[in-house]
Amino acid sequence: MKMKSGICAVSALAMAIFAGAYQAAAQEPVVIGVSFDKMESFREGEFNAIKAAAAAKGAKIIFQNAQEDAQRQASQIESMIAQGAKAIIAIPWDIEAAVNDANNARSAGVAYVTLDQAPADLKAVDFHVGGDPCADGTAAGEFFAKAAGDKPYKLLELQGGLSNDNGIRRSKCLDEVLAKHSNIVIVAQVPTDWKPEKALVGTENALQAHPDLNAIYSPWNIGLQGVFSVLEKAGKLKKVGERGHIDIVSIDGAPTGCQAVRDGLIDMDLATPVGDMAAAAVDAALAVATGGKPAAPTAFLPGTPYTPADVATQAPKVWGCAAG
Amino acid sequence: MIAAARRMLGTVEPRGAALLGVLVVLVVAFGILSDRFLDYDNMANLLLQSSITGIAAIGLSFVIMTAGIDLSAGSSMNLALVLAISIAGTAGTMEYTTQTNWLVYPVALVAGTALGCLNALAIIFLRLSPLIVTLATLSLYRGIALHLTGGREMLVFGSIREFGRGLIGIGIGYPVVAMFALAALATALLRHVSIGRFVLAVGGSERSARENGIPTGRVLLFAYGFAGITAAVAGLVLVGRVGAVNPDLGWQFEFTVITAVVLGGTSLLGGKGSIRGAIVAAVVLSTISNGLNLIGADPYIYDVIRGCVLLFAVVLDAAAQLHTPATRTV
Repeated sequence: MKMKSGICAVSALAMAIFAGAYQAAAQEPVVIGVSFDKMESFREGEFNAIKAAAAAKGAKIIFQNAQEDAQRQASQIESMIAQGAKAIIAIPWDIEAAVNDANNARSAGVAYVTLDQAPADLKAVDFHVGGDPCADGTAAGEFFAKAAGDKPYKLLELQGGLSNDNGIRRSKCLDEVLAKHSNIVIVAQVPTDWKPEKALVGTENALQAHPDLNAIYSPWNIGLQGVFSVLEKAGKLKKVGERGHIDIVSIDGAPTGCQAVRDGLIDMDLATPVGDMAAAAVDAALAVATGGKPAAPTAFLPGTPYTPADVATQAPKVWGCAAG
Repeated sequence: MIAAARRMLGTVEPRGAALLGVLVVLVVAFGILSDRFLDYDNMANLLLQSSITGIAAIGLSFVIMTAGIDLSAGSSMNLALVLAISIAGTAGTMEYTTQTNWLVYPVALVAGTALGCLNALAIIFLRLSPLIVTLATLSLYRGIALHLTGGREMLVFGSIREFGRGLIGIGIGYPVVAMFALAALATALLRHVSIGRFVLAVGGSERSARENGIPTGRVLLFAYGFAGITAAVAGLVLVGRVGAVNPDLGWQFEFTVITAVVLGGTSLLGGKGSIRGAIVAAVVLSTISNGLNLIGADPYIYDVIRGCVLLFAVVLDAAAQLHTPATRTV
């Protein structure tokens, strides 16, 4: 009898300990490893959005910056898994290497979500969320087509990185729209590797060859300062609506992009919905880490267009306007 | 006249002649393909675009002449400018803008010198390879700059823009004047000042130089410090031209500069080099981009053309080297 009651007591104690441990485990915040390819203004906006989304869901994050090195990114992801990360949200530097990183993480039972930069194979990851570079390129192309009307129109196309999805598709989809308008001539396509100094030199050279340039496409906001520098030197930095203004469209919605719209220096910026992207990535990471799965395997969110005419009303939707 | 031309060509090394030949071919080809290429304004632009690489290449030539290397040139440039703007900049109207006054120049130069000297001190006192030390500082300096900026792009106004964008009377940019002035100074140092001659001696054989009483440590300190100064000047030009500092500023810049130095005739083994050659090489590199932009080339062939031209220059140089003894022209 004593023995039976002893067994019952031990069992009850064990169950209590197990239940306590389970409860403690349930209350323990899920650790999400966040791995960025690099840090710059746009990434800072994305990081702040992830921090806010994770805090809202009670998750803990650990962060690493790969400084544009795929090998370093792989090591950092392994290290975050060793530190107890149950999910990884990565912005891959190398879209091929991202597939390996995803396979390694998932085989260790860790959820792998990509943000912003799509990996080479979307099936390799649990979830991908990014902007919609094609929709943004198309919107920019449609803006230029409307601005050109039937007039001859010379456009300089600055290009981002030609080895990454955003860079390629922001240009390709712009080109597809412009190809339908025979009056629009792309006078130069300048690869910049997302470097503002290359945007500056490319604009300088294009303006030298075509002083009658009508428009410039800068597929990221950081390229704008180089463009402004050249236009200012040439006496062509005019506000929207002023005589001699060169039409400019950009993408990102960063603080400097928002300021350029507010100053009337660019005609349109397409703000990437950084807050929505970060929230979707965190939701998906937590869902997979706790045994569930995201509602859809991918989400591509088009940018929010805003112009000098509506920047005051659109500002709350633009992450860079709020940050500035 | 022919005799004068022969005398002039006689002072040019075979490697320099090969590089000049490549430049002439490029100028002729782009001149035919684009009716704007040979315009005076474009030539002035071309020199301006070459100036950032050219300025940094002058300093890095000293380092490579000592048989060293500085992989941290781009990071030194970035950190020197971030420090200068943090210390000498005044708050702008918004969180991501700053105003600069004349103080930004001395602070950037002091910061650049200090960063270069730190590289040298680590090489001298820790007896480590320059490759290892500067590989480490490449990451360290960029990391500190990233920490200071918090990853943000900062718009920079004020006096720094005047240096990057100003022109002298004939339409030539201040940075071009700075490049030629620094090249003249560097050439004079190498030819007429003992520390300059010691640079070549240390690069030829550090042990022999030490045995002959040359203070090798001080020579390395001078070479890396000077490279730091030129990296800072190049950074002042770059930030002045772009009008902003961002964490990517100068990323992989060291590879462009090393290419210019080596293509210009400075041996990676040390003891031999050419400041003139480095400047011409910087102009060649800019000519390729400028010409391709002007003719509206397919963006996917830029690297192919650049690679072919560089390969051609190297092959031409190798052919020229076969017929000449080693020299130490500066």
